[in-house]
Amino acid sequence: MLRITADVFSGRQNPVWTVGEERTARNTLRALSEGSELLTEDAPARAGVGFRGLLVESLSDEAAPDLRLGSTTYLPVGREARGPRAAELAERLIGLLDRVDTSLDTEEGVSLPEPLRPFLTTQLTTATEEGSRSGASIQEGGQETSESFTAAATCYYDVTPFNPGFWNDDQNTRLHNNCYNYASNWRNNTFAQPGRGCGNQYTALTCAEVGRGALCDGMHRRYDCFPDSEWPRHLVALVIWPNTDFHWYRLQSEGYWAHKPGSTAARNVDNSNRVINNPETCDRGPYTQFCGYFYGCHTQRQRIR
Amino acid sequence: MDVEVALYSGRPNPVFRLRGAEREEASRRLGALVAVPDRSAPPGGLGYQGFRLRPASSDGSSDAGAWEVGDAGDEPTLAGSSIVEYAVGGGLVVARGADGGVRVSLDPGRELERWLAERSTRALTEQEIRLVEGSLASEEDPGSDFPR
Repeated sequence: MLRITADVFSGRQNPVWTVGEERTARNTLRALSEGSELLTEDAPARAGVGFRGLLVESLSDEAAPDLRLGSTTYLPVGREARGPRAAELAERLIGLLDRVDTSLDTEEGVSLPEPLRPFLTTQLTTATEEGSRSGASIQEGGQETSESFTAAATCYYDVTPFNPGFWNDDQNTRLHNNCYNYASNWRNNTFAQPGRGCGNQYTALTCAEVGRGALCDGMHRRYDCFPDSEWPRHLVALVIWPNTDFHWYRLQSEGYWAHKPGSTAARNVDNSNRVINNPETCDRGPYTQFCGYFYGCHTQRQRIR
Repeated sequence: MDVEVALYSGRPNPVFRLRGAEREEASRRLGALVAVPDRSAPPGGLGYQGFRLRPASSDGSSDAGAWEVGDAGDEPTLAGSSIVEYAVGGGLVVARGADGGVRVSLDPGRELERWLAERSTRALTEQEIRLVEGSLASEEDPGSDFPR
């Protein structure tokens, strides 16, 4: 899922829209990656007024390796554009407003120009004409970031590369996302609790109850398959510190498991500082009960709170 | 300043706030630490890991605000960058700067950790107090790696 902000206003709220369909989001990120020379980490300080650019934020870490610039990137347009193709990319991002799976994230009581897409296109044209003196070269690139594997006879699950910077580099991100956020690969800063998103949070710190909460959010037990449309279907493992706490691990494409102990850094090693090849046998400290494996999915991760 | 008791992974950790004389004393103790430049930050892990000290913000969350060191001295910095967190545990104190820099200091005899543990009891359940006390009692070696 992508959140896009048109950095166009100065006093009022900027238009923000969310791209919900994962393949559209990935294709968009790939297009941005192919034009990585056009991107910056943040809005240029001297961008001035008018259409300055578009901020693109990814809410999950499988997209970040495509970007190679972290989970947030900025496409300057107009005077600060880094090349003639910036306007083309900007048009593509604005064009996502017309997709049925795109939603406008406007705060209550805030009005935006209607219809929004023609307004932004006009603003972009004006800014591009003003900045037509500048230009830059474009470099091609991009790579696939996920794979699917067969589980048992019929199920498929998906794995993505270990990407700790997505979770660790920003203090706010590290503090407000826990093991369940990490296992779900959904960085929504809620310190998510199994079942809270579906309105029926666990009532005891047992395998049965925490597992029930996760299933309520939309996870499946292992070998209860998800269709391809639920990509990414992560393989995760639940463990319990009896009557005290829960913890989750997620399988990465490198073959090892990674986890994020509470508000601390995401990592791929256990309490003995050994790479986790098996969550059933790794050093889990007091989390002595191994509950079993589950599949996460796109619907589930969007639901967690 | 806010103090998080590093215990859990899934559940939110207990948090309590140091005010007035306690805050001044904590600032004094942090200011007296001696860095060990060749020591890297321990990896941490699951279970009790110690305490994390952060500036208290006005809304009660722990991700913003100033240290408010008052008469104890200036706002703490690390190579010119403001310190956003101290992790205290296992005989070490790891200061983290806003720019990602890290400075490791010794906590001889785990005195700062024990001082924080005494103050944490007001925020902890009986079970949690036992967990913290049990860890402090079982791992006496100052300057050792973080407890597991």
